Amino acid sequence: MDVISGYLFLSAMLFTIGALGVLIRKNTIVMFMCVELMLNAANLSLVVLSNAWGTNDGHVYVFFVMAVAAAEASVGLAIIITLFRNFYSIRSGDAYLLQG
Amino acid sequence: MTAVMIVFGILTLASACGVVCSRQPVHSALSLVATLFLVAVHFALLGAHFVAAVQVLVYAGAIMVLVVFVIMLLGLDANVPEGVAGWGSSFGALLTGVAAVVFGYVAISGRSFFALKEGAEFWAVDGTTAGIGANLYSNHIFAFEVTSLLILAGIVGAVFLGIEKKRPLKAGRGLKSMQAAQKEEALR
Amino acid sequence: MAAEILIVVLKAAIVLGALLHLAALTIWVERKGSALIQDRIGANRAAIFGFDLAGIFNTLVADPVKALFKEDWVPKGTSQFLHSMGPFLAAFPVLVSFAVVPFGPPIISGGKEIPLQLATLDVGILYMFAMGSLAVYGVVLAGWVSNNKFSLFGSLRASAQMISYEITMGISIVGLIAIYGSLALDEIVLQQGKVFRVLGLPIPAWGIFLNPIAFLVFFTSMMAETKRAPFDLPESESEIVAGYFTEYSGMKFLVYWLGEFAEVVVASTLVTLLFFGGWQLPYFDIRSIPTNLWGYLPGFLGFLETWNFQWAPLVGAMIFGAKVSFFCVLQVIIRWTLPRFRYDQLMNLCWKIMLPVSMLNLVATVALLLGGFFSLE
Repeated sequence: MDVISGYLFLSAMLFTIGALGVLIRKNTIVMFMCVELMLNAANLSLVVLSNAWGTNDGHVYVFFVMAVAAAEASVGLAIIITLFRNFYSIRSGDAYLLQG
Repeated sequence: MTAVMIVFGILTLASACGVVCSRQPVHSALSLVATLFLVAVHFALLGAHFVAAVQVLVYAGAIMVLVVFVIMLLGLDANVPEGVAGWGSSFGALLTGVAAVVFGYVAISGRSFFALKEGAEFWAVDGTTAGIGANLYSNHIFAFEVTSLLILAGIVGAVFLGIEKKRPLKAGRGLKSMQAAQKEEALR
Repeated sequence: MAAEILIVVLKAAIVLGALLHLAALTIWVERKGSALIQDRIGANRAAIFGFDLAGIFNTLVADPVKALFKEDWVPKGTSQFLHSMGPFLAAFPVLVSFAVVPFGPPIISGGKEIPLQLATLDVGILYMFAMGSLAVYGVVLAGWVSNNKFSLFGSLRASAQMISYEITMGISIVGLIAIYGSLALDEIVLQQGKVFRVLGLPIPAWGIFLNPIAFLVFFTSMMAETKRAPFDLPESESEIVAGYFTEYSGMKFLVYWLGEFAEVVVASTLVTLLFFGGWQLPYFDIRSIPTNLWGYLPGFLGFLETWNFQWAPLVGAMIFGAKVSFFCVLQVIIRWTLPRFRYDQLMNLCWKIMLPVSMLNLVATVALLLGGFFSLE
């Protein structure tokens, strides 16, 4: 296996592990961390594919993804704190008030 | 594919599994820090030095510290019961299993499909600070400026959400389970 | 190939040895210096044949040996593995961050330059900051794994403080990096050998002269990053016992302590590299020292006529070491002179004073740079 396929495979596996975490875990903070994992998988494939095309555009995109992740962390963690203040729990199933 | 890459790749996957499988959120967070650090190592191996440094600085050094801080501040380190795995979880696991096969196939066969090469060009990409900066501030300057707006929106949103409301709802199932846990603690 | 590996191993040994010895000597300066400042006699109990070497035996031999034989106590209800990981997570990033420090001008051997720097990284200063930001995990883990309220308070304070001060630390030097035009530490040091002109007078292009406000902000932030007085809220003994390492004893505690002093050395190194010219001297290029000093020596040293030695790397490393030691001692003096902040004062200082000041300083620096004020020659 050469470097490009190998890293694309690693990136695919990281992404599916992250997706698995988001789908089967109920702890919102773990789900948040799994989203970060998926973003990182995307970053890895961006860098590999950018190298394969022979430009550093992909490295710049990774920089933007990190900025998005930082903004997401600030808002996401604030949401989790608000969730905990209102429901005394961060289990995703416990915020059920909108179910009527 | 050198031996170093394979060893670090296996370590990365193992620590990523640790994020999903750990029962305690703190263990998950520490596994995620290890994963992010290992991804930074992969960036460095691929010649993306600036991205590797920023990955450690921003992800491992700032975002994850905030996550760990929130976990400790709220006292979420207890073992949160996840409940029985319902049909939704099983379906999700099945779905990701299928996705893993599809993604893996695409990853391995995609190289020949798009005729991607790993030649001298692959390793000669300018991943230094100067190269990235020249590209970022010429071709992507508009996206860069918009990013600053995004981060400003993030700050405002976080501050707005963080302002303590006078009366919490006090209506969650979590409250009942917490009170039950406190009662149990008192009895013990 | 073998020679190259040998050179790398030698450089690694020198760098790590220098860092650990400087950290240990800073511990001695702290113990003995605090005694001098407080008009005590200080560490003088341990002596070999009546010589205590001004307390060196006490602080560097007797104390570690005592710590080695202490019971290694782990609190109940926590993970033994994570409890042991804590000190290493705190000390390891600090030790590896020294790898990119250029501690002298390159040695020229056989037409090739051997840089006196373990890893010539393009992103040197970012690497040091990244490693510094990883050091917080050891502290956080210690507080969490100790199963103790006061430890948890200490580590919460530490993580909030370290995140806040990293921001001012980063912003304060951006202007300086714009002036030097590089993130590589060896390039930054080389640039500081130049001069810039104010009203026609040549002034060395050291960071302290180019950007004094950045120096004040950066040095304060570094003091806060090392979590020492007046910023030692995470371990303030009058409020929370000993903070995050309350439940650590013996050698684990000592590793935390050593990590803290290694952080002091790294802080001094960063200040030296960015603001005080690294191994450079003002107005004099030490690389111009001739390899054969025959013409400058008195007559009775005539047997040295054929002796060639590269003085520049040695002199440069000594100048660098002297500057770093000076800042280590200065930090010890500041620690034992100033009283501790209150926590709200600490946060106000960071977010309401230092952050706006460093932002304004950045804008002013860039404006002056575009105006051609900082033209290095």
